Amino acid sequence: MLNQTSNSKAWLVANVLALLVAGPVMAQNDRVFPIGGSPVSGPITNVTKQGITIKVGGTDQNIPANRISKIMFSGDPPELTRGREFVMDAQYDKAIEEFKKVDVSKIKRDVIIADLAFYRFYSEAQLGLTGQGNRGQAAANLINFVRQHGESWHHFAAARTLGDLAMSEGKFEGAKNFYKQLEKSTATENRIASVYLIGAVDLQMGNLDEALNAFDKVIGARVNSPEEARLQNLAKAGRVAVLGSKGDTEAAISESNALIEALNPSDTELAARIYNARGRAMTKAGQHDAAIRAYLHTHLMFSNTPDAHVESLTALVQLWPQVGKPDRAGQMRQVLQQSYPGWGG
Amino acid sequence: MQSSIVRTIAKGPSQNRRIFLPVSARTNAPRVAPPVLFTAVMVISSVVAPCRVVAGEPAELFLQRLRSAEYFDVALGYLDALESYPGVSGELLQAKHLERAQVYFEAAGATRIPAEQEKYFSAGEQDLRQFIDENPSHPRVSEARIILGTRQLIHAMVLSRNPKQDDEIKEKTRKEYLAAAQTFDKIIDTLKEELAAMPTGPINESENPGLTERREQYRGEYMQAQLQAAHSRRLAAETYSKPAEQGKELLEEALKRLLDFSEKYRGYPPGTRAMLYAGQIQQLLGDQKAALDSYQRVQEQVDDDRLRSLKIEAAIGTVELRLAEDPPAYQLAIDRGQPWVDGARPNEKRTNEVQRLRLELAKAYLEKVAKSEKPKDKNDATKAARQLLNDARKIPGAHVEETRSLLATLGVEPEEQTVEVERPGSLNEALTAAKTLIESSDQLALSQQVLNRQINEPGADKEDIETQLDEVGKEITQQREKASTLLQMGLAMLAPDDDTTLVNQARNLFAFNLFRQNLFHEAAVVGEFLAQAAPGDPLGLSGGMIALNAYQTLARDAEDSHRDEVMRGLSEIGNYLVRHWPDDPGVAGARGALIAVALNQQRWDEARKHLEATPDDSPDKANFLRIMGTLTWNSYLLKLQENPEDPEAAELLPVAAKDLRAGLKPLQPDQVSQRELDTSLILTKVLIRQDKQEEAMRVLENPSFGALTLADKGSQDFQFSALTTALQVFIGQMTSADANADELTGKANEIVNRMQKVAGDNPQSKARMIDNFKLLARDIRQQMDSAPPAKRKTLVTAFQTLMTGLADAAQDDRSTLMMVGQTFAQIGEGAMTKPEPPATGQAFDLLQSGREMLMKVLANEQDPEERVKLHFQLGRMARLQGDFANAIKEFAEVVRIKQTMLTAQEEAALTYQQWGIASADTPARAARAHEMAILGSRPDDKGKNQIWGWNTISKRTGNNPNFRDAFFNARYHLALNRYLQGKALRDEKKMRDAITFTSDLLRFFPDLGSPEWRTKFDRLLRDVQGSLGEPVNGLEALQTVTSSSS
Repeated sequence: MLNQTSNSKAWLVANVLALLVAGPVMAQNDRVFPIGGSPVSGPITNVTKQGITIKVGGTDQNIPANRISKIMFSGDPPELTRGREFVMDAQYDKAIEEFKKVDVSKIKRDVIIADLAFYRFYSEAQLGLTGQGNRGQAAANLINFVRQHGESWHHFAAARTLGDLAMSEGKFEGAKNFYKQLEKSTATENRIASVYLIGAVDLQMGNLDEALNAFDKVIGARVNSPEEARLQNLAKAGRVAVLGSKGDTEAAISESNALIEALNPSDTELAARIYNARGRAMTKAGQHDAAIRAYLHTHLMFSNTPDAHVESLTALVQLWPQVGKPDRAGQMRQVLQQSYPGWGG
Repeated sequence: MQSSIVRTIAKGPSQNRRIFLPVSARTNAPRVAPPVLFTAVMVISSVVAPCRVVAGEPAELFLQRLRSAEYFDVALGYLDALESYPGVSGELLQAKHLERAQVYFEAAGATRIPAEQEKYFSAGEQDLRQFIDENPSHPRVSEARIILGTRQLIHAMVLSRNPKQDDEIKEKTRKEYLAAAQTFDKIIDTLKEELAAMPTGPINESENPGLTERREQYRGEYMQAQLQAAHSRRLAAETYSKPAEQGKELLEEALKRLLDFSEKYRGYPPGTRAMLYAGQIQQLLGDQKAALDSYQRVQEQVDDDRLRSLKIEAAIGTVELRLAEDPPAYQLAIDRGQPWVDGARPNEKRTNEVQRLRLELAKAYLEKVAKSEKPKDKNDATKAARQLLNDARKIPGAHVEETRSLLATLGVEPEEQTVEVERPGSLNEALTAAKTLIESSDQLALSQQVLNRQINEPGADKEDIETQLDEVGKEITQQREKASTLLQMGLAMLAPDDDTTLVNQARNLFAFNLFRQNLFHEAAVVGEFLAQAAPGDPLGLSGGMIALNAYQTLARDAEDSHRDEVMRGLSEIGNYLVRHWPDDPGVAGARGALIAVALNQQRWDEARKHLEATPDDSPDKANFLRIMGTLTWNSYLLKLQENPEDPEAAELLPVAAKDLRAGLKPLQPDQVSQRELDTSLILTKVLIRQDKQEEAMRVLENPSFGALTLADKGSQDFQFSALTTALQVFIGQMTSADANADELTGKANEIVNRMQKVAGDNPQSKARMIDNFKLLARDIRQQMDSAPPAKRKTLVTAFQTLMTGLADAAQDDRSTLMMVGQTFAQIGEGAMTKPEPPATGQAFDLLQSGREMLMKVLANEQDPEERVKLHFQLGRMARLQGDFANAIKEFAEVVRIKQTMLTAQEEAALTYQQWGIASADTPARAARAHEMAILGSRPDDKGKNQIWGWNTISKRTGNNPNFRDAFFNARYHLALNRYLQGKALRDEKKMRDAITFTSDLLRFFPDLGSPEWRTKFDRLLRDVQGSLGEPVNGLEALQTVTSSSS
């Protein structure tokens, strides 16, 4: 094909350039991109699930896994480099296309093979969560990844994704088990996330007291980073959901108001969770119109967190007929079937 | 399409703040079609502040999204509860009523039920008033007022559309217009004050941020409000049954304002509009002269597309006024109106204004008919009137009734364009009735088929059957039209609580029926809407597929200039179907369409993507794989054409092979047509290029699609092509080490026999067969050129075996002998290890075989032209063999008949030259040969040499630019032979002549013809200089000499 021809040329050029950029043949110059910081270059000397060690100017520097945005390894195939960027941009389908082109037999470093495997399976999982791929297969692949690359710095991210996949299949106990893995992280953020996520599973299972305990634990924790603070807000949203489910509407509304007031609408996941929680409270209180409005916030404005969107759609399917709009329930049902086929198992 | 009621009069500084104002129709009942009304309302509602992203409840964005989703009830509920949400801006809370009004207006635009529309309009207006009253200094108040005024106008227009135009309705309408006028008056007063308080010159933005923009906005609104205040009064006056009397005061007030406005804003489109309105009011008031003058001023405005519709309306007014004169000035009317009809642009031809102009103009022509005395003038005018009326009649609108009755006066009974249908009571009723009609029309269609068969039967009463066919055809058309009209009426009656399934069934049937009526644009629109309204629903899929098929039909018939647009629509619906019904087998056609679109637009990657996404069992997939494979093969050939050494070309072959194999695999023999056979042959050729002879043969002999197996199904050309390809494969196989040459030769002979059978005795067929062999020979020669020596030898042997077999089979068949002889010559020359004769070994044998074949042909050839050709070829072959004496004999025979045949003269001279070179051991003979090469030989009875030699050739070609290359060729060989002659005789002078000849040439042709000739001359000179013991510097020496001598 003509395109294959031009791609062959591009491939060749990219490889030549990669060789030039990589510097002397024997030197290994990896680049670590921390979250909120300048990239650090040097040979990576150690990789564990907790983080990596990189030699910078003769000195070892340890960077925790949860503080790493991405790593560009010396010897990365150009397709992996491109695919990784697509993953960063959440363009998972394009990422997978790039990863498929990689000739694994030519990769010399295990750490690169692990990176390739993780990003590919992670992308497949994300597509699966939005109804564009096979969730079961994605989960199986990620489990294999964890088995084969147990000390990969992606370990905890993989565990979390496995938890998300289990949730999407309605396998709540399984999800809890995966989320529990995050407790083993030395990063506080991951340990807090573990508690929060398990609480979220309990909420879905209807274990309200357990969920509330978990959320309160997170809310009461001392936080030292924006990511940890965000988890606290998510836990607060979870708390609203629990209060609402228990019928404590006033408290739920009041707490959700406080969250909304401080809400940055660009944090769509947090927004979705807050409005869903509010919707849950209104539903419990029999305020169907208000509940619809709440869930419509998620559906119309904050729909890119799959499980939250599913929750809002599922609720709207039930609520619309309550206000005499059964045809709109049909529309929501169609969206669910189209966008999230098989969700919930 | 009705004329656009809503126009942009002026734009404020922000593109979002366009104010749309209605243009009235000339009659008392302005037409506002619901879709146009919706547009107007939507545009009104688009005047909003942009959404800001801040912390807190994202109220503005949520409201926008709710309105987009048409959740108007939810939006209203949300606004009611807005205070309960934290972080909502104070400005938005204050503008709650304005937002509510917007929601109501959008809801009014979205509904088709008049009662609901009315309800929403009233509620919206109420909210607008409340907002204005409660927030007089809010930044959005002026925006609200404009909306209110416009809304009142639209409301009045809606009322004027009510079919029940009694006094009560008219009174209500008038009140609305007057209310609108008052609203605009208030806007004028308010804005005048605001603008007076603003600076008139440049504004310092850092001190007054946003003031420039606001000033521009206010200026624009001020202008519009003035225009609309006048216009509303005029429209109010027109609600009277006698506007000029009962509404005189209003009209005069409106006129005064419009004249002032048009004077002040002359040069602006609103100013022109005001001129038009003024003319219309003057006409209404009976002031003909003033009205004509106003219309004339409109016509005289600059050429600006925005003013065209205004000028057309002015033309209408002029035509009316001219016809109202006593006597009617029909010619002036025609002179004014006809150019506008003739010059109407495609997008104008269906507008209301143009139809009204046609109608008025037709009246002018009818007046001419009545007043003309000459029959020719009468006829021409009648014809013109009829044409205008017929054109106008086809476009729906208020003019249609009058148009028809005028046509009837011409004696033309108009066909029923629209079928009279009783309005159904509900959608359900409409659907049921439509289904019955469609079923009935289907039955009639069956009868039509029967009649079509019968008409071709022997003894059929053709005239009677044709009459029946005509009647049945009309009946089918009528029933389908009725069905469509019923469905359209039924769908217009939608209520919010209607069963969605029922609605979608109606839409589906509508789309289907439109398709049957060959109204493909309409079918595409309805089908696409249904697909989008019901994603995931089988009815939605059905609608989508109808739209897809409609687009495909349109694409097939579209003109080149329009095709891209249709393809875009096809691509959009195709992608939509694939996205929402990815696994539905019915959607395979959509993928196919997407592939076809992508291929058409040469977007190979996209075609490949869709192809890969198509399920393997999809019926079209194999077809597309074959197409892709063929295209890849074509790309391969193109690459080689551009660069025979292109290394990337070969990479395309495995890709092509893969697609072609997969595409051919599912075929059964009964599915194979010429197209599939061609594809099968292409696969064979691909495999040959990949040196996979065995597989190529398997493909050729495949029982389901093999080109050889099924060659009889193809055209004669195809058969030749398939058989020749088979020969190519055999020859290829012959070159392998373990080839059974005898067996392969036997097979090859069978193929040749088959070819001869296909050719039969038809001379043209035989000529085609020979052409195929020549192509095969050329192909093999190309292979030989790049083949290593061992393979080359085998190729030649294989080919020799084949050709000999063919000749033997042909016996004395002239055409076969010719073909074989020529092929041997070609291959033989290609097999020569060096370009100069004599040929040796295999090459010699081939040339000899060729000579023998052609001599056989010559022996029986009577035609002088053919004999000349044969002698020429024989001469050439003899030369290549080194049989120079016989070669000269042959060429002598040629030039005896055709002395001016340049190629023969060149060959003869070359023969002498090569004879001389070959005789180098015998200097005298060599010198003589070279002399003859220069001077020629074989004098005729006048002593002139029939064989010219290079000297005469150069003289004969020197003055003719068409023979420039031949001239330099002759001059080169002249110099060369002189040198060789001198060398043979050890005559330095003669050798030096070569230098002299070249020097002479150089003086007149500094470039020596071309860089290639320059190189040759340079090389020759070096040889000469070397032989003379002089410094060897080629042409350089001459250049020094020539420059010093000039």
